[in-house]
Order: sequence, then structure tokens, then C-alpha cells
Amino acid sequence: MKQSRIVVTSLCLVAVAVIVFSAYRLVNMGRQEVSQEVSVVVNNSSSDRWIAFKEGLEQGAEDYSVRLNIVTTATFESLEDEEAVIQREIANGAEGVIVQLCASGGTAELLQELNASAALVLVETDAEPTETYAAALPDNEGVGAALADATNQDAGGSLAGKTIGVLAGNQAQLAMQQRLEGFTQAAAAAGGEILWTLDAAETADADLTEQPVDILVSLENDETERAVDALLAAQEGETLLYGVGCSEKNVYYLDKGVITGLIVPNEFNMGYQSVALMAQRLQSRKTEQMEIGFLTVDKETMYEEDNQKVLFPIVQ
Amino acid sequence: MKRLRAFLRKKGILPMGIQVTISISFTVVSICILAVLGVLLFSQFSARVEAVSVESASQVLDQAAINLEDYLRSMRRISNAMYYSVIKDTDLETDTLDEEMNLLYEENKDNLISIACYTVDGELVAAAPVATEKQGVDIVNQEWFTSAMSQMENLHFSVPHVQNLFDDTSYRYYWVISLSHTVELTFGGSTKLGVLLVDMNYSSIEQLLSKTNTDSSSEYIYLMDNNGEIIYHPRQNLIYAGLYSENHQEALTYDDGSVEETFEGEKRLVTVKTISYTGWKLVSVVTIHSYEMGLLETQYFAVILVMLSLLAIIALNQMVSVQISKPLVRLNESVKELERGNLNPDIYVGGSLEIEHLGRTLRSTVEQLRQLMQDILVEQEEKRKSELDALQSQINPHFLYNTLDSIVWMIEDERYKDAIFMITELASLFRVSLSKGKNIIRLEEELGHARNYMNIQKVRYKNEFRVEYDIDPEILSCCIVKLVIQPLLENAIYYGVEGMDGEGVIRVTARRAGEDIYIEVSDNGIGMPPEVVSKLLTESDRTPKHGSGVGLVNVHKRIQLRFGQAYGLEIESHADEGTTARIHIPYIPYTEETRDELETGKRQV
Repeated sequence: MKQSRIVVTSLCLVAVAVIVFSAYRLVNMGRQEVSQEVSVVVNNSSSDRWIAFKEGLEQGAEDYSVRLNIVTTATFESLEDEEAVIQREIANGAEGVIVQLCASGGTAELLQELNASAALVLVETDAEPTETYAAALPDNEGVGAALADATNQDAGGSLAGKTIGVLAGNQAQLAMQQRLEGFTQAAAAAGGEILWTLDAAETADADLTEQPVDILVSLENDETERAVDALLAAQEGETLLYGVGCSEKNVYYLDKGVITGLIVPNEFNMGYQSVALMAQRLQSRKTEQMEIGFLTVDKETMYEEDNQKVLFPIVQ
Repeated sequence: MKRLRAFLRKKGILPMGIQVTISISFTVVSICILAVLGVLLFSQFSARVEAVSVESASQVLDQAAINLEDYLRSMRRISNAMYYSVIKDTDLETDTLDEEMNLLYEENKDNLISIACYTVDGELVAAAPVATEKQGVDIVNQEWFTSAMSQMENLHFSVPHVQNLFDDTSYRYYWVISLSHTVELTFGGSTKLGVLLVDMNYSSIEQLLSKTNTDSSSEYIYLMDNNGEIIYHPRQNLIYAGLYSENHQEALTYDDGSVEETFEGEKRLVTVKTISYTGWKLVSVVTIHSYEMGLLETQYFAVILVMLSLLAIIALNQMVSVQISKPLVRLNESVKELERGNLNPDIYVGGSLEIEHLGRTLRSTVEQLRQLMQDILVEQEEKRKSELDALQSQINPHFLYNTLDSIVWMIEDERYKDAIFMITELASLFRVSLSKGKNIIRLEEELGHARNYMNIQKVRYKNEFRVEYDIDPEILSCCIVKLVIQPLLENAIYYGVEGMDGEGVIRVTARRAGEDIYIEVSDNGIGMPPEVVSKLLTESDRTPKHGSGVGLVNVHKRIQLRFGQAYGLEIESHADEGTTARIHIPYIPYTEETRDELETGKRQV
């Protein structure tokens, strides 16, 4: 009789346990996994250059169940402005922030503080000390060197006797410094003479045609657009323009022949990978740096099948 | 099975009670039935869900294919309308295509990017909407142009590409699918080949198909051309970026219909439908995992139902097993009561017809058993009584013969006083022997009887031996079987002190040890060899050479008959040292009641 009671009680307990477990799973199956909120803070977020990047972000957000908030920003005047925006996003509940820093130097303390309160992923440019934070960025030194190679190839394998003007972009950013360094070294090796180099702040007020050069090089999308405008305004001259960029305007003027060669970072990939890194950071606090590829295109090659997939991402 | 049974028996699990057996058997059978039913129903259900899933995917695919074919048909219609209704009827030397082309474009501009007509040299004849042609574009080497020229009779659909024909100052570029067709252009009556190009807006196809792709990760549709080039895929950008891969080259080899495949470790159900005219393939992919997830909910629900049924069945089983086993258990309790020695148990009669019959039979069997036992008891008592009577009747003639013989000799020797003494003692002896027919007497009376006997014997043997008595007065009033000491004294005389050289001493002691009484008769005679001692208490038909003729066996048996096997007579004898005979009986104080119980055998010691 005692054995019977033990057997029956055990069976009943097992059955009740299975019912409770199944009911719990059944109830919880209906609940959606709470997605984490991530803010994206980039310089001048409404710029055309971010179209592919945003497409990549959204695809990543869908794949990794992340709720994205792409913050509307103007051009940051200083790092403090950008910090204020980031702090506001964290205060509003962002668990992670994808940041394109407007300046890389002197950011150690700021980034440490931000990293403590939210997951941080850098895009396009690294900070100093380098390789400390998760980041999705192109090989910026390689981008600079690729620009120099493009000019060198078009010039027949030597830049000897060629004068070069460089629009170096925001030199407060490590990415721009690295691109400039990469370009300078490669151009010097090819025998080119850099006649002048202008920082973004200087470009705004400068007359690019005042000191004519054979080759004008721009290291950043907005600067390339500015250079295009300058060349179109000058109407005459033999200056060849090479630049980095991906905006529709830059692509259009590449097609028109105003830009001779364009280096196009794979911005879709950068957006997607930054969300992938963010999802990884939110789960395991792991920091990893992801290198993003880039293309070198000219008027002849821009419609090639592989190139057009990067230059004109399909907006779905 | 046997081993299992042995193991269960060893562990004390078997044998089980009837209720346990019924309950466990019912429960095991119920669980098995529930499990089999559950598995069967669930497998049926999952097969049905899979079929519905395949059917649903197939329907969605068919619908998407119909929409796509409609769309492509309308594009072909535009191309044909432009060619057969406009171009063929227009002499381009005197007229233009612009008006009709613009009309067609305006009618279909939601789905079109442009319509254009080129000569075989790549020269633009007409275009809608009106746009500036790009300078320096190599038209004749563009893929849509070469396709049209290579197979002139067909309409050609290209893969998606960025249109590279017209200048758009708003920096816009369009992804298009080009529909190209070789046409005959009329110039002043003579014909010249040309190519009509209808650039379809890729986003129209993309929107058309993306409507069906609500959850692109587990269930989606994609489109590829007849070379395996992907035209549309919900994760197209990821595929271009190398971050996602599709098994489209394998799918290209599939015929229309459903195929189960494993791609990158994931089982998928792939359904292929070929789009008419273009040869494109519309492919539906459903991961098995996706509808298994849907099944999981049902699985949990089914488990809850099965478990609830199990609980209900267990409760029902308990009730049924108790109902069935209760009369049997009660009957078993009655049998156990019987086993415990209660010959008058309350036998349960009830329950089902069979168990009630069993109860009645058992009750009547117990009644018969009780009667039989009573009969056996009476029979045994009678047997014992008759045996006792026989034993006692064995003593009297022997003893009487010997004593009377002694008295005769005394009278012949004219020893009248001795003869008188002998006769007086003999009279006392017989009074005790008779004891009013009692078999159980006081020890005091038995000892008196022994004294009378020894007095007679001392006279017969002319005081050749001495008798000493050491009696604990406490035990004088306890019960003893009569005439058990006298045979021992007789034995002590004939086998002990008779014919001794020195003075013989016979010692009679009686003492109590706990709940037992020991009465010893010892002598200092010649003793007996061990083989004689060992036969004294076993050979009942042994005839003694001397004495009353009553063996010690009789004494031993009589004591055991009255008091039980634990009691009786013991003999110890050593050559030249003497013999001790020891009576062992229980201490029972003498009352009329105890005597009566011992006499009738009702008292068991």
C-alpha cells in the first residue's frame, strides 16, 4: 500500500511538473523578445553619404532584433556638441550607441565614461588609443594609399612633376589623419609633389583655384563634393579630381567625368557590421574591430556589375 | 522476466498488494494508450501541418507567380503595342514616335522608368520621358542591346542593373530590368533594324515580391533568371555584401514543385515555379524549423492535455482499484486474524458475488475447523486419560506383589510387629495411591507416599541402607503427578544400595529454582554403566530384573503428558559413585482449580 502511494504520488508530481513547465513555455512563447534600443550618432546624419550606411543599419537591426534610433544631427562644431547628443541618448534609455566621432584626440576619458554607461561601437574612425573599442571602419591608411595609386596609374605610373592639392577633411579625426598619411606616403613614393593641404575648416573659406594644381585629392565625401563645386565653378583648367565618397552627387559627377577616380567605402557593410558588433557587445561586452572594404572606381568601371551593387545599393 | 521477478522479490517490491497491482496495471496501460494516441495524433497533426505549410507556400508562390507574370505580360504588351501599333506604322523620315511613346509611358509610368528606341548603330530614335541622352555611352555594347541583336525574334529580359542612358541632374540613378526587342524601323520606305527598350522599374518587382515576404528569415520568396542570377531576394544587399548566401545555383537545377534540401546545416522546403516566357524561376523557401516552431505550441498544449488526462486516469484508477480490492483486502484481514490464532474471527462476507461466496466458504471452513479441533482435543484428552489409567494400573500389581511377599515372609518368621508395621505403612501407601481417584496431588502427599514405601523397604532390607530427606518446605503445597518418586526410590534400592558392602544412603531432596521444581533421588551405590543409563528413559517395553516392574520410562512419560515436553526425568550415573534421578516439573501451587485444569488437560504449561 505504501509502495502504491509512493508510485501514484510520484506520477502525479511528475504530471503536475510537466503541466506547469508546458504552461510556462506556452505562455512565454507568445511574448516577443524585448529588443534593445540603440542610437546612432553620426555627423550630419541627413547627408546623402549615409544612405547606404542607413540601409545597412536597418538590415542589421532586423537581423539582430535591435531597435534603432538614428539621431538627426547637423555638422558637429566640437566634440562637446557630439558628447551632449550621446549623453542625451543614453539618458533617454539607449543601451548602446553607434558613434562616428568628430574628433579622435583627447577622447579617452569621454569614451571610457560613455562605455561605462552604454555599449559603444565606433564607425568610420577609431579613437586614441586605437583598437580599444568595438569599431567598424575601413582601412583608412589603405584608402589614402588607394587614392594615390589611382592618381599614379592615370598618370602613367609616375607622379613626377605633378602638383597635388589635398583636401584633408576633418583632421581632428584619426581616420582623416590616417588617410592623409597613407596618401602622402604613396604619393611621395610615386614622385608626386603635394603643393598644399587644407583641413576642412580651412577649405570652407579657401579658393581652391588660387593655387592651381594638376591633381586635386579629397579624403572625405563632403570635401569631394566641395571640390566638385569648385571645379565646376572654375569651368576651365586641367585639374584632375580624385576623392573619397559615396554620395549620389559624387557618383553623378564621377559619371559626368568631373571626378576622375573615386574611392567608395562599402557603407552598407559598415552599417550592418556596426549593428552586428553592437549586438555582440550588448550580449558579451566583447570588443572587436571589423575592417570594411572599399572600391576604386572611375567612369568606365562604375557600371560594372560588382561595382554598381556597392555604388547604388538597392533601397528595399 | 524471471530475473526481473527475482530482482523485484529481492528488493521487496514483489509480491505486491492487489490494489497496487490493479492500480499500477491500469496506470501503465493508460499511459501506454495515452502515449501511443498522443504520438499518433501528433504525428498526424504535424504531417497535416507540413502539408498545409507546403500547400500554403505553394499557393503564395502561385499567387506571386501570377502577379509577376501579369506584370511581365503588361510590359510585353507595352513593348508589342509600341512596336506593332506605332513603330511599324511610322516612317521616321517624315514622322516621330514621340507622341505615342509618351502616351504609352504616361499610362504605365508607375511601373516604367523609360521607353526608348535605338537604331542598330546605337543612335537614339525616340525616348520617353523626354530626357537628355548621356554623352559617350556605348549603347551597342550594353547587355540588353546585344541580347536583343543576338536573338532578334525574341523579347529579352535583363537582370537588374543601373540604367546608364540618360542624364538626370537630380543625381538619381535607377535600378531597372530591361525588356529589349529588335524592331524594324522605316526610313523613307526602307527598313532598318533597331532595338526597342522598355526599362521596367525594378522597385515595382521588388514591391510585388516583398509583399509576400513578411518574415524574410524563415519563409521567403526569391527570383532568379534562367542562369541563376538573382533578380530579387529579400536579403539582396547582404548577398551582394557577401554576408548572406543562398542556394540558388542548386535551386536552378530543380524542376517545378517542392524539394526538401539541407543548406548550411538547415533543412528547408524549397518550391520552384518557372515564370512563363522569361524562364525565370520563382523560388519559395520555408525552413522546416519555422513550422516546427509553430508545432511547438501545439506540442505543449498536447502535453498539457495528455498530463491532465493522466491525472484524471490515475484518480479513476485509484477509485476503481480501491473498489475492486477493498472486499479482498478485508477478506485477507480476516484470514490474517485466523493466522494469528484467533479461531473465532469475524470473517468478512461482502463485495462482489465471487468474493461474497469466498467469504461464506471461508466462514464455513473456519467453523468446521473449529469443530474438528474441538473434537481432536476431546479425543486427545480421552486418550491421555486412558493412558494414565493404564500406567497407574501397571504400578499397583507389581508393588503389591513385592510387599505382600515381604509381609508373608515376616509372618512366617513370626515377626508380627514388623508385619503390622508393614501392613500399616502399606495401608497408608494405598491411601495415597488411591487419592480419591486423583492423578494430581500435593507434593507433601507424594513425599508421604515415598516415606511409607521406604519404611516398608527398610524393613524388608533390614536397615541395610539409610534414607535422608532434604525438602524445601515452600514447595510442599505444589502440584505433582502422583507416584513418580516411589519408582525412583525403588530404582535406587535395586540398582544402587542393594548388595553394597558398606552402608547405603539414599538421599531425597526437593527444591525450587525459579518457576521450576527439581526433586532428586540419589544413592551412593554401585552406579550404572552409561549404556544402561541411556536406555532407561527410551525403552518403554524394557522389563526390569527387580522391583515393581515399572520402568522409569513410565515416570518420564507421565510427567511429560501432564506438564509438557520441557519437563520429565533425567538420570545421571557414575560407576562406583552412585546414581541420581532428577524429576523436573513446573512450580504450580496446588488448588482445586489448578488440579482440575491439570487433570483435564486444559492447563498448558
